[in-house]
Amino acid sequence: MEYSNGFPSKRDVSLQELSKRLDEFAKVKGWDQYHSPRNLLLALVGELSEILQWKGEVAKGLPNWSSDDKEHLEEELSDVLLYLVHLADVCGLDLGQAALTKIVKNAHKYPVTSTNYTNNSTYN
Amino acid sequence: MTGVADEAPVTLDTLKQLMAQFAKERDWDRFHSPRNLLLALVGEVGELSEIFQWKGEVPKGLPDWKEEEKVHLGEELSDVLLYLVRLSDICGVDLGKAALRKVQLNAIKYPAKVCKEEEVVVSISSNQEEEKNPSTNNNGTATESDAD
Repeated sequence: MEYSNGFPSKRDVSLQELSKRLDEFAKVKGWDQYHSPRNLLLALVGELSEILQWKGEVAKGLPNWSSDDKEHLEEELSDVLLYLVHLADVCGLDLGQAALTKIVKNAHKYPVTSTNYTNNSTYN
Repeated sequence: MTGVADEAPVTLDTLKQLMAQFAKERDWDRFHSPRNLLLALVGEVGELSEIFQWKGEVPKGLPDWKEEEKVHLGEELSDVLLYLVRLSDICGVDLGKAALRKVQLNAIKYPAKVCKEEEVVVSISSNQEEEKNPSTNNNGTATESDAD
């Protein structure tokens, strides 16, 4: 198992890799039986409610946050992501490809206009 | 897609860069504060929830769903993911690294053979324990060890 390698250094992480790890995790612990789509969706909602709770308005990059608070936020964001990835899997969807498709669709829905940016980059 | 091969695994960094470019091109950066993005994310989770809310319990793999329903679901899941990626970026969090770390911490904390004996703690694992024992279920906040 890759766990013996310790924690990863900074590198690009694919949704596919997270998906594989979560699947292994759920199977090894016998939790598959509980991971129905609606259970996972509700678990995701629960994790979401904890993000940025009681913080008031915060600036980009979270200046003045303690490292403990930042680490806690990282865990909350990770939990939402992991539940989302697992939910997509359990529904039989390729989340990565769906996301790329949605970005293209959004780009068409919200076209770049000359009034808001001089360089018109495109995704094509 | 610019610089994105459809065959390659989709990475969080790729999505992060695409979303950053998207926001910059449309001058949306000024609206993308952490709390604005969080509330947008919550809204998208609401839309995702709408897809399931009147369906009752649904089996894995969504047999009997029409293709257009699955495509719609893929779109809503994507919206949640894209806002999550953008929120993490704006907060200066490396989401991929954080997620891998969380998965590995969970594996260490809950070795396969003794997982049912472990005390319930706040983590992705604790929700599974709570699901097994609904009579003792408590809100994650109630066991939150982080005190601000």
